[in-house]
Amino acid sequence: MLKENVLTFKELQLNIKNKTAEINGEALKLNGKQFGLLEYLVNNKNAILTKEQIFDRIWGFESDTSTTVVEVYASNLRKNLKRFGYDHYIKTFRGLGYMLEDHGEGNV
Amino acid sequence: MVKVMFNKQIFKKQQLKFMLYNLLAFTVIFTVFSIIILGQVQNTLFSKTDGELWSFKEMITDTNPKMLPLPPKGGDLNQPNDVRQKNKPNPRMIVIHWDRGGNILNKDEVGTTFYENYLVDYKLDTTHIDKITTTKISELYQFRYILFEDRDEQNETAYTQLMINVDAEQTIISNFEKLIIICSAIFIVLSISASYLLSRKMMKPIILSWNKQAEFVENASHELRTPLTIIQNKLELLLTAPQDKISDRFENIAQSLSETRRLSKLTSDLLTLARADSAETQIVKQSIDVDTFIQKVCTPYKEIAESQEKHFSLECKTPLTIEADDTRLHQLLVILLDNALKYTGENDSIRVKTYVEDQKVVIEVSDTGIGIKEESIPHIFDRFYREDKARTRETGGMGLGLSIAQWIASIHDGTIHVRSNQHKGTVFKVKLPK
Repeated sequence: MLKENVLTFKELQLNIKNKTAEINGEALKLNGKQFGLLEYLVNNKNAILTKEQIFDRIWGFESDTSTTVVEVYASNLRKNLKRFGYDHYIKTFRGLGYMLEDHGEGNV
Repeated sequence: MVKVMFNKQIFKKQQLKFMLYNLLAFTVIFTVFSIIILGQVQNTLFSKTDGELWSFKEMITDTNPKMLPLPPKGGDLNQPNDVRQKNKPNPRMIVIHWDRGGNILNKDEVGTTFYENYLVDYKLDTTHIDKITTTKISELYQFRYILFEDRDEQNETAYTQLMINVDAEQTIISNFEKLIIICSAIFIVLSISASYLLSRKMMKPIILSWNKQAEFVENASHELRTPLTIIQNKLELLLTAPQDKISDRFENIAQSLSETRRLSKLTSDLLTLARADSAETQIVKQSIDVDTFIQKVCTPYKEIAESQEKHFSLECKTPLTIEADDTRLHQLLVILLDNALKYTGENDSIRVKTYVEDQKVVIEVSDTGIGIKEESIPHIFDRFYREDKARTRETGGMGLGLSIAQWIASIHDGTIHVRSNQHKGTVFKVKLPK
């Protein structure tokens, strides 16, 4: 496995090439959009990403009505990470967006 | 008010200009017309007398002296009737023979009364030899005459002058001139009023589009000012707490960002419309598989709709390709789908259908949302038109989307129509040529 294809955040490892994710060697069941969101968050950890930025990144266009679907992705991603306690690292900024934090406390 | 006054002045000036142009055009046309008619009348009236003068002159000079001064008394009965007729001079023709000294030789032939009344003072004028000329006798009677040298030694004639009285023709011409003058006077009055009416008609679309433009600028400035005010307030508020962390004050940033997005969308929409107006935008057409394209565009919207607890269904029955600009077509669908999502609530449904009707590809976006009032339907594609101005800030609409949608449909030689959905909501129907 080539190192450039792997993104890490603490124990979380994302394989960009195969679109797979694992924590402590255990695979996460993520669909394409959730993986895309997680990859985007890991790439920009400790930075706030707005919902519009996230939608634009995942779908490649802008829409006035995009925010709710991003919320759905985020909530699903959280559910998948909860098992490992990693959902606390995703901080929600209500009405704005999300941030993946090294010392996460969850929602604001 | 100053602006309105200023506009009125410009319009008045322009209208006056149009009026003058019209008047000028009318006058030129009428003048040319009258000149042609007058010239034609003069020509035809004198052409008969002139023809008679010429042919009689030829007769005298060619068949001299047999036919002089009158055709043989016995008549030439063997000749066909019309030829005889032709050889006779017009009875109003007067033939005068002059000698070199300017004396009239055939006083008797001309007739004593006529001679004594009119020709006593008449002098030989050799300036217009062999040329038909108009002259006046006794300052009253108009004659056309031709004077030519006639070298017949026996009769001592040095010149022969043929004259025809043209008073009748002259009367016709002067009557005609009078008629034209009267007509011109009537015409001037008529054309002034016609020019005035026409110029008003011409100004109407100009005033209309001017007002539309002014209204557009006013609306646009208003729409630009509101978000700017909000952004300014939020940013100034941030400056009041310089020690705070960004994450503690992110609401202000979120609102500023959302207003910025509004502004950026508004300006790009305005730019699109401005370019549409100037016909500057070129579209790049390519083959697009209708159903595949619609499915691709609708996929995120299916998720968005589901994330908002709405039903989304897709029915594709157009396995065809059309020539279209895919970016613009995507924009058109996004506008319609965003609208559908904005004006529907939970458990409403949105349906996208494609099918072929009357040789046209139809893309139909229908929803069961709040719908459009019947009286608003004619205005729905107008720029900045919004049904409910109070609702717009929440939904983010600026009333430009559907104008752009209509423009996109029209640059593809298509149409877009809206109607109320049978039960509830709205149906947008885009028709594109196959």
